[in-house]
Amino acid sequence: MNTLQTDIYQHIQGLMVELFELDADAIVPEAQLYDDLDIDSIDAVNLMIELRPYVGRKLTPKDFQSIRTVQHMIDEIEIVLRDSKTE
Amino acid sequence: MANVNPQDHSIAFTDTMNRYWRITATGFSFFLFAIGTLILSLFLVAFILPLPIAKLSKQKITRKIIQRTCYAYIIIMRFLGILTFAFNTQSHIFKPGRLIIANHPTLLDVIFLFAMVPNASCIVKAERCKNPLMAVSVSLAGYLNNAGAELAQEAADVIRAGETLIVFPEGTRSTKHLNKFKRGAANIAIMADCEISLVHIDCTPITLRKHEKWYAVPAAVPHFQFTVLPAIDRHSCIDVTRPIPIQARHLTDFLYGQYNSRLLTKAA
Repeated sequence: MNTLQTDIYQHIQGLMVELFELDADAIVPEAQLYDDLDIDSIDAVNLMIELRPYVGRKLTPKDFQSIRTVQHMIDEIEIVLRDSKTE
Repeated sequence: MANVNPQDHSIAFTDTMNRYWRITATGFSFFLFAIGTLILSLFLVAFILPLPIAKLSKQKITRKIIQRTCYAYIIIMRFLGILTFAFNTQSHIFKPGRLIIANHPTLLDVIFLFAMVPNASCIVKAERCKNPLMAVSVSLAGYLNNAGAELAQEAADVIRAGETLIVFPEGTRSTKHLNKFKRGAANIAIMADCEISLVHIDCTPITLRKHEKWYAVPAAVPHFQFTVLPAIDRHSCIDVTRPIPIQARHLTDFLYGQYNSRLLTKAA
């Protein structure tokens, strides 16, 4: 995981603990959002809303459609952040 | 054998004949349901859809027709002797702009709830709308489609507009006595900031459960009891200063507890 990814990971971890009452230890990169962390589709929408200040723009359901794990989420956010930097 | 009362034989015989009758009548009721939904949707398409009135007016008429049809259907089943039913209601269930939740023990729960509640809406599984006739009927009735990305928001919007939305938090019929509650209902109630009316459905002896065959008619005539519990305002049940996802979790736990304690009391 590079520095940007680590930063994203820590940010997501903090948000999930705050939003979903999860244990920080449970939020590992391999964790499955639905099966392990009990994060359903409505939770995902609320998480996207909370991520907006960090990511710089509103994330759409399309951005997050196929995300299943924490690592996958980190990867997608990294893509969005790098995209916005090149604009 | 000498101690057996001849009357016991005739009682056993009557019970058996009654059971055979109920199996026949149950089969007929399934058939009637299939025909009935076909005729109903044809009627809606032929006579309601073309009316030169506003969409909302058609929706009101459609829902009234559906309510009457559901009620007629349960009356027919009672007449055939395959079930009895009783509604123990409270006035809040009829007030507009709320979420109604219920446990889901049997296949007939939806019919009864729609017979009982005026202007009710619900969330329909997308695969049921593949049939074009069904799709048009569902659209006329203004029911919500579960495939929508903004489903919770749509549901909250219709409640705020004064409709009554019926949701089964279990998502499907109960296996054992109560499935784990999904958080959709709680999330909708939070977004709509509405009251939640709870309905407890009891069927004794139980029938038409998930995976149960239609002909597995119980030994005695099943009685469907619908009890409306006091309305819930989430502000007095959970901490509403917490983030919404946490409220949804706490509210879901609270609602589950309401049903679980009632069902455990009954089983005792």
